[in-house]
Amino acid sequence: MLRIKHRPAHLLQRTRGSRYNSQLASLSFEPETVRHDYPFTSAYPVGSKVINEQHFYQNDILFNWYNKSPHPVSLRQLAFFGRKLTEEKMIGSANFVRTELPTRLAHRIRDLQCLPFSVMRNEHMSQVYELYYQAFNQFRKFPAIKTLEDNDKFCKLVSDLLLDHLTIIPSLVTGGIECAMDQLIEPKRLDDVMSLMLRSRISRRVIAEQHISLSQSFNESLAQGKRETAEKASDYIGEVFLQCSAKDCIRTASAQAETFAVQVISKELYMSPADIVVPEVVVQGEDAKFPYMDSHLKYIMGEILRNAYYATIRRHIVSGKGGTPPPILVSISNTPSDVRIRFSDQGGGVPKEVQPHIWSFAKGPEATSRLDMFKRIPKLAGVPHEVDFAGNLDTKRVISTDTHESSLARFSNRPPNVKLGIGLPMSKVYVEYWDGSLDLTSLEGHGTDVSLRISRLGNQNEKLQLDRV
Amino acid sequence: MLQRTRGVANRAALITNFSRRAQNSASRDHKLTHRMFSTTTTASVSSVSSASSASSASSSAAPTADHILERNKRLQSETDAAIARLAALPQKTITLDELVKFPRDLETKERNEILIANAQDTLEQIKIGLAHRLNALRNLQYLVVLNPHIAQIYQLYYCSFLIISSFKPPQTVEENLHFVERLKDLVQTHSNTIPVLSRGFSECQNLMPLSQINTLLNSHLNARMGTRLLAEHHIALTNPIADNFIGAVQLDFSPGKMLHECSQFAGEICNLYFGVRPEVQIDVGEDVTLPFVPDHVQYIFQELLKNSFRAHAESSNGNDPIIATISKTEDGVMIRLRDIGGGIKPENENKIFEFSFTTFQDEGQGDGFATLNNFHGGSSIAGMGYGLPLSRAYAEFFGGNLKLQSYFGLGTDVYISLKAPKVSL
Repeated sequence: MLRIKHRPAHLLQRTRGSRYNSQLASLSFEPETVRHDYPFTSAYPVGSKVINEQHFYQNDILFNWYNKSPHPVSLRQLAFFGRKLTEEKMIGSANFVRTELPTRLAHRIRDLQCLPFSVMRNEHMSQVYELYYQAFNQFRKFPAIKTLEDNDKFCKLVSDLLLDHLTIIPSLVTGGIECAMDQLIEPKRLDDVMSLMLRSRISRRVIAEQHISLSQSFNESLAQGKRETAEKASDYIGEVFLQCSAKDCIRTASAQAETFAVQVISKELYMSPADIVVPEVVVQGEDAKFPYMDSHLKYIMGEILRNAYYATIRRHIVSGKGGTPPPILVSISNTPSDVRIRFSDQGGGVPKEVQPHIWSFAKGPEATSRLDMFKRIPKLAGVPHEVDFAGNLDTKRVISTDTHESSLARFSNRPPNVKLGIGLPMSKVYVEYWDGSLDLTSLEGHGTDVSLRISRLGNQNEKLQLDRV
Repeated sequence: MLQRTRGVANRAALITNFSRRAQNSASRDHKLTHRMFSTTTTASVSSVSSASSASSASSSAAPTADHILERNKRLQSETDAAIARLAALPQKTITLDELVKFPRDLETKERNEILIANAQDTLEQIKIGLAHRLNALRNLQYLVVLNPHIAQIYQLYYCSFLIISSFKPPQTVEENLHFVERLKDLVQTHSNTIPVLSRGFSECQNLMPLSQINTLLNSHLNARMGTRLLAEHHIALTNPIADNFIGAVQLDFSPGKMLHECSQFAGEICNLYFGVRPEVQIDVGEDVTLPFVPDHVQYIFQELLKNSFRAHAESSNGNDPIIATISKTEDGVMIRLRDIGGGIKPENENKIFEFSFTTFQDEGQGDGFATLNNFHGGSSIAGMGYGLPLSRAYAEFFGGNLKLQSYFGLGTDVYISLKAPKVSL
């Protein structure tokens, strides 16, 4: 028998990177003890009320709801419905919302359940999951609505949940970016998931808010002793959609964007805000009036103008030219089918390396800095409704505006040093939700043109459904 | 598992224990987790005193809940980073040639040097293996991992990785002895993962395609075998089993002897349930030997004989022997086990190598491939057929194979081929 005399090379290679964790040096081998001392080893988040050992089996209920199809609602239906309200209609609407919301939530929860565990174990993602699941449970357990009092309770639940869910966008985006940075998910897939979640969130909120505002109108007329509301004019489209004026909206959004940009730049360049000269916003064309979600429109225009102001002012200061920066040109083009608004600035354009990523939530060279910014957002949750966005809204819509605007308002009014980098992708989701489009062209070295196309959401618009479920 | 001294009865007891334990595991673990979550803060404060001695220099102040949270958070991100790094490294394929390369006759000093190097290598390889498993589990859909059985396995792997990360690579003989003790614990902790995992996946059948489950289980089994073998090999290198062993490899392994041993064991169980005790008759090759890992062949023989014995007992051929033919081939050994237990129904033939949790509800139909474990009754885990797929995985581990040929109405032939190491010893 041949004896092996040489030392096998593979055995003598000292193992590279054989690191050990000295913190754990005295770790006991009792898996139970380890489990106990290091709860993060569990598949279930520590202290979760939803995601625990029973969750897998309890989830069977979700499948019942998941198997139901959501009912697409068209704008026309909403408008027609709201034209004349009766008690019967209110209760019908309440029950529709009561079953529709959990059905839609079940679909989104299933989407999350199908993501890899590595993504969902992220604390922000599991927070989102838990909030969705809690909402789902509360809605599905709510008994059938038979009286107006039931409906009042239901409206309370809906508004409470809408408020509770204000943290969802920051959590979702933070979790998403963290996962993308750890390469746990394809950026493309992440963007798809985020867009889907956001779109579906918009549609749920529209349905919920519409119901709440209808209930308010109805209750007010009840208080005046009327059993039903007066018939509305035929161009009435609901309570959460308003006849928006492009010029008004541009004015409001510019004022905010200007303040924001000045603050950011004063911090970045250590200048006094008073020393910063702002460009003029020149509006061309006739004003256009069209029905839209007021808060959405202000958010979209705000984000576009913010970028424009920031780039224009900064470039101007850096160039050392002095005087007033070149104006931001806003042009309105009005046709029967849509309204197009062009925002032209001379801020130097979008840097080439950033261009491929401008519509993405997660990818891009700025991901890390974005993430740091995002981590500050949840802390803002303690400051309710930072800014009165409502402006020209009358008081009867206060609850409605509170609930549907504050999540966006919070974004619009974040501290100036918080640059999120998701303004454009978020705006695109909103724009496309309402059947419009958002496009950006950068003239490198000169400036940026953003083209916003808004569909006229008229009563005649049968094809437009609120649902992109 | 490696100790050849452990008797047959002992093994039978193990098997009974095994199904009972698996059955209880769900409820027991539920309690455990429940306790874990309900008392997280208070419990960690009291329990951390043992673990924190290493984590912080300050000895006087008791760690607060915040400290623990902070520490755990840091530890988690460090561990996850390590897992990501190691999971990106390839897993080394283990060959018999590599295993038997370990020099036998060397000065103690030289031998120890190589042993310690092997310990370090083993530690790193096991870490890589665990990281790969964890990664595979983490890539499953969220809801699947939330299944309590899968979650249990996930946590077991995570804890094991954490524990393994705390091992200092041994530098001296004494440290190696300590390391080996801990390796034994690790092997022990992982001995029952397959039934739990199969059960978990059986509950996820509506969430993922069956083929995906089978692929997953197969790769899990293979990886697990590798990690396990590395651990056991090193344990046995440190504490040699006998002169005719290099680590886990028996140089003069005799399939014939092993067949007789396994026949004893399967015969006893069969006798218990059917009142008959079929036997194995070796017609050719009683004395053939080759260097091999006995544990692997033992598992294969036990599973196959249980099937055949049961088939014989049920087809009232209980008194006829199973005929074994062992032949030395150019590169190893080929074994044929031939029974006359009636074969396998043609419609079941294509399912026999699947992890057949789909059929575990109608267990006891005598499909010919159902194992003797079924007799333990009630236990759905014992009824799950993973004996054949697992046997095949064991046979293929070192490049061999396992093939089954059924003649319905007559009997079944199983061919096992084992590859010997190429180096001459």
